[in-house]
Amino acid sequence: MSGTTAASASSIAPRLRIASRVCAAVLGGYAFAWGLVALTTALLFAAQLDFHDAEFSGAVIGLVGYLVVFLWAIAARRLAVVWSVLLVGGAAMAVAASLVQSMLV
Amino acid sequence: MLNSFRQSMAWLHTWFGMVLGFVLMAAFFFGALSVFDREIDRWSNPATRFEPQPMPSYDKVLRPAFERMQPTKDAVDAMRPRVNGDMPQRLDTVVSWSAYTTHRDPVLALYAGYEVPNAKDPEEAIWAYGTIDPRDGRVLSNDQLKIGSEFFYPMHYSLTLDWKNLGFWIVGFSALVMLAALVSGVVMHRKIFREFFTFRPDKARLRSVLDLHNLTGVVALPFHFFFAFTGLVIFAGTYYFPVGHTQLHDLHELHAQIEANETGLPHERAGVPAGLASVDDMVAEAQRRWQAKDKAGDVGFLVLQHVGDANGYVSVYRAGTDRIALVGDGIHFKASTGELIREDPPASAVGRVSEFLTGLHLQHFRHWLLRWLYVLGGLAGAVCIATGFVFFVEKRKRQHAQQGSQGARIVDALAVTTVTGMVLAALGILVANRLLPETLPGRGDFERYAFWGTWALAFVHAGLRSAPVAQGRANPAWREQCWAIAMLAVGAVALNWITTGDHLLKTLSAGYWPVAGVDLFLLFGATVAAMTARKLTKNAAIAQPRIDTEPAHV
Repeated sequence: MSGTTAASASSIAPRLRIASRVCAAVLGGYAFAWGLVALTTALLFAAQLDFHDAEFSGAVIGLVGYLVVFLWAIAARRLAVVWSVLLVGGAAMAVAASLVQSMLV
Repeated sequence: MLNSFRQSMAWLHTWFGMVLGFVLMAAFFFGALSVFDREIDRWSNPATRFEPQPMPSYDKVLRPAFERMQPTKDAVDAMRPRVNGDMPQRLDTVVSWSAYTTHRDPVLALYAGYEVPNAKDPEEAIWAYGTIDPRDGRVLSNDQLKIGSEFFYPMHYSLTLDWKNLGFWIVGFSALVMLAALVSGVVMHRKIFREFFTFRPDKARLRSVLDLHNLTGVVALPFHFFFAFTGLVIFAGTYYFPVGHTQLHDLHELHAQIEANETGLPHERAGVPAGLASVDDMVAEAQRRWQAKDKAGDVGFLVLQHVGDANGYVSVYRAGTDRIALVGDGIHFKASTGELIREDPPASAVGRVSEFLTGLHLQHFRHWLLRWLYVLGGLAGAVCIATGFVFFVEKRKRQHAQQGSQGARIVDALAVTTVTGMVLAALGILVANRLLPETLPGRGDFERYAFWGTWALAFVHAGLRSAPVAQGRANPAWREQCWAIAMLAVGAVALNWITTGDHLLKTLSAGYWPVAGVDLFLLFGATVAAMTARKLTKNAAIAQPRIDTEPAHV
């Protein structure tokens, strides 16, 4: 790492890429996890689970999902893919959760 | 991001671990102390040094205590902007009265919530808090800070930064990083099983630091993973992913209606005044029912909902001292007649998993050996993070010295502040607790200032003494703060003796373990700190050992 740091100190782009990757892991990962929590909770509630049981299961699955996409975001080769999977996936799951809710209420 | 998966994981481990390690250190250390929070409360409040008490009689002790309660002036003032018009002189429509105790509590915590007339959010209640001696109902001053349960414990999960729940988010994110650091740490080390048994204290310093880092990380790996994960799960629904209160609020409401119909426990007041049957009889009936199911019968939590109203009910919850799972086994009675409304059914499969996971983290059970294992696990985590800092600095400081960089010096000074400085801060609040006059108004606030003040001093000291690191040598602040820890810890034990007369011979012979245990732990800490300081002094005297790097770390 120390070698790359010394080499990249002169140019800005690699630093921006690192910042973007860290943001993808932290914020993109959170958006993805939110969608996963919401969708899991809504689907399990729709499947007749008690609300708080569904909420608990949603949190467990969402947190494991957050950890997995967090690691993936750091390791993945192409940053654009990471950003799009996390944001589009998170939004799609959140919308699906609201749809499930509107069908039940 | 880098050339290989392993290198990316090493990057993640190094940099996220270093930055969030400062927070994780506090979470692990204060978590370990919180295992014995009630015992630290006893040490810091000498007036409460007596045996744990069962839930007292409602009619004789609790009712008069509840009736005396009112929100503090600060709470009333804080409520004013959220009310149309003036706040009333006295709040008398009780939403709920409740009392909470554990098998380790001599004192009883009371909570009273009141409806606020003309509140902008009609659901919002105003709360009053109190602590009483359950033997006679005597009120204990709120100025007597319970250092264990009211300071070290919140420090563990929120750093006591309550503004916008900022502390919860910082600690929660650090817990996620802890999980990521554990996974990436395992990926970095292919020979993980061998590291289980590898500790070479005599090898070059860098090698032995890394051995200790791996050993404390790997031996307690399930513990670290479990606690970081369950900690996140416990707060997920409230803070981190509150879907039930936001996006899925309507589903939650639907559930609340179904539940109210099923349980028969009214959500609202009826608006019709009603009397109260004997609560003591209800408690006795609840205990009889638990006993019939072969469960320990101590009451942990007693709640009176909608007091004085026809819809009022009384809920009696069990203190789950006999199992790991955090259980309530609630039994609910109609307040006006004392007739049984409902007995909570056994938890569902998911519910049992949830109770087990939260119970294993929060430890309401009665098992002292297990408690001590938790302390060891927490301290192992703290050692793992501290050695991570040391490794980070040792690996870079010579190179930085040659380049004229200040990076290693800054990280090292912050590491001193977070490792030894944090211990000093914890000792600072204990010493202040024994030195401040017992009846000083706002005593608890001064104790908190002592904590943060000591920590700030440790930071300044670590920074002022950090120059040698920029030349590739050790920061003398490490050993100086170790000496300070040894002196403050012995000082705290001595002050406890002088101000209360409870010296170790007395508490040990009386078998009063809450205070004896804290004193012994302080003396043990002082010994470890003094030994460390001596070793560091010796190290400083001899030549620097050769640097032995491991290729897996980048």
